[in-house]
Amino acid sequence: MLQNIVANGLIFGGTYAVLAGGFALVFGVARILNMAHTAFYMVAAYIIYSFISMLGMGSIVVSVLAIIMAVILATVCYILFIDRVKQHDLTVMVITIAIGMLFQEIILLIFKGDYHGVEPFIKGYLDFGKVRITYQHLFIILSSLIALGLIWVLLAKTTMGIAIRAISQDRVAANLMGINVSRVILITVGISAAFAAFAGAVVAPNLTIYPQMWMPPLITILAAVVLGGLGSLKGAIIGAFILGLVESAVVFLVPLGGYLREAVSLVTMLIVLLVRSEGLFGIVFEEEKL
Amino acid sequence: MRHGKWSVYCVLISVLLLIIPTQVAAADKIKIGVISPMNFMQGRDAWDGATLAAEEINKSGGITVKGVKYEIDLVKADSNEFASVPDAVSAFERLITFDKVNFVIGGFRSEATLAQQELLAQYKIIYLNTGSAAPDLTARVKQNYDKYKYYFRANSVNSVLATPPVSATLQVVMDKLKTELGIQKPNVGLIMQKARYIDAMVDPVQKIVAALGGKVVGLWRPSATAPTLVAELSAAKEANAHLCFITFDGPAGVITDKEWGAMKFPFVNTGYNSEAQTKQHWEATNGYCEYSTNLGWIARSNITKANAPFWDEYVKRYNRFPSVYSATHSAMNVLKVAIEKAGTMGSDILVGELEKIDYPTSYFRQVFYQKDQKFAHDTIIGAGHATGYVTQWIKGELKVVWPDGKPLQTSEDAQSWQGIRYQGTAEYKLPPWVVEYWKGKK
Repeated sequence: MLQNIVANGLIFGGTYAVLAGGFALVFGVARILNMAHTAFYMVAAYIIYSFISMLGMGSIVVSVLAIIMAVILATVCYILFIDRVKQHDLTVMVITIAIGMLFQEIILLIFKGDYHGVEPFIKGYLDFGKVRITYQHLFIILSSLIALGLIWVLLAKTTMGIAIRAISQDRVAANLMGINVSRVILITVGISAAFAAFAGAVVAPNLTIYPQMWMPPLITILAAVVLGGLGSLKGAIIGAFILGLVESAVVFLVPLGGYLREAVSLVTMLIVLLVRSEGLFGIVFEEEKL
Repeated sequence: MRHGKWSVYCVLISVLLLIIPTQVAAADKIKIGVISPMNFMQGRDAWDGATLAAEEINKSGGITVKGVKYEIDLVKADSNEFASVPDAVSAFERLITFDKVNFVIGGFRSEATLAQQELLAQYKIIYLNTGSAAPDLTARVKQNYDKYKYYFRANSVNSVLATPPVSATLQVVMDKLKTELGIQKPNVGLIMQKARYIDAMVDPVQKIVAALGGKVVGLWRPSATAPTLVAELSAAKEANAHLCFITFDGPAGVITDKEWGAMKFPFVNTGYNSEAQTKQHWEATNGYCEYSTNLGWIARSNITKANAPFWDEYVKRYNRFPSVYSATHSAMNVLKVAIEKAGTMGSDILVGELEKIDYPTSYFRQVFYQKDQKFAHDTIIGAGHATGYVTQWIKGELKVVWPDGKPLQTSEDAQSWQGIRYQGTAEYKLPPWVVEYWKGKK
């Protein structure tokens, strides 16, 4: 049983980690609580489904296209709707909820409420003892780790990364040091959307694609981000894996309560916050470091 | 001055002449509200079924009441009940108070339908519900007849009364496990979505499993929107399940079949999965639903004369299979027959007529339980009435594998099922990977 809990926890956690990473990044840098984050994951899944099923394109090419399109969409949304009100946190949050709902309704208009599916990029499965896992699941875990590694390299080893971190630590000081804050925030929004779209791309074959698919993971990644410490990338990723394991454990240990997976995630978050109000890896709530 | 006065009279007369024919025309229509979540499969199917019926009825001269022919005029109402039960109630009330419909058909979530039922007595409006399954909906008709008598569950199914076909989904596969693999006491996993109507099925299903000689090895209750069921499926495998009874009515039903087939979990997949009855299910699961078995309320058969023509026309026009929600088609026909027999659209008289109805619809023979019975105004399910079907996906086709002409072991009237078998019924096939996994193991 333990093997299965861990394996399934890693599968859930891998997806949540990529989503939560992007969410934490844009919050850490731009202080945008982007409730439309998982909507880009949904948009990417639909783009992949449409291009593969209607145009017969290859899955890798389509995934790259989906990520590019999601990045463009996110940056356009930022420029049009968020940039002008970015000083008002609550307004920004409400606007992002509206953007998410807008995407959902547009998708609903175009595709209706039908359920769709995409073929796995890599077919087949492996048995490790009592654990059965598909190659696509392994691909999700591995590609999530690679994506998270790439973002770490970007943040730790590049000039852009230093600028992003500087802004996340002190926006005014970064501005005074000559960093173009608006430009860096825009790039961060794009990176964040790329993360969401990437998650949509690798996970799409393992999901039912439908217009409301962005809602369930949103709750979990919010919990992961708060659990890890708002704004902390490392915290969000670790929080995502913790919640993945918790959700998996619920199914195996409390089978009658499988429907409470998300609720248990939220309770886990609350317990951690009761013990440590800034989350697991929050040094100071407002001034998080990489 | 005199000319001016006549001019006013002329204008008034002209206006009256314009208005009067319009009123006469309006009186020749029967307005029927179709309520459902219209942006989803449930709503689309409800609307399409009703549209087809309205066109057929209007083409054949409409509904005749005491020699006067009435055309059917459908009014669409989006209940938005996936998101909000209060929206579903508001949409229902709007149909009655603003659109002034004479009758309402459709409905989906039991939670929404329970709330809508509260409006029926107030407005004395008949509601033929075609999509909700909670037993409370008709139990309360008996408990408080005067308040709830305007409600009928037409061509939809009470999850408790559905015992015969539910039992068949298990019997068909358990018989095969016994005869083909020698597994005399199959281990059964239950993966049943957390929902009001499914709660009512849990105990009966466990009793059926025991009565058929099986052993329940686990019960999992995921949500309808669970993004993946791989943990539940893995847990069932770990519990050595030979078969899983899987029940869903949302997106999780799609991913369950897909994960089951793609990962070749070594147990049979049977149960009630509303999505698995749709033509799109094969595409949505990328064909991984092959060999899954499912309870359905509509399939192409010779259950009634109206079934096959309806099925063929529906598939031709919409390129989809009719679903349980398209039963608005048969509900409209039931309504037409009742109105014509009653010779009135008065709700109280019509309730009495509907209670007496015995009519072969495009789905099955529609007869309602009487007001003194436990589930008053519910559709009678059983041999010779609504039988339901067990279907199996094979090479992209949904094959009927039950009723198979054999007695239904767990039914009180087991022998009454003997010989009930529709044209074209195929034999159930075990998934080859399940055979390979269990052959020689038991």
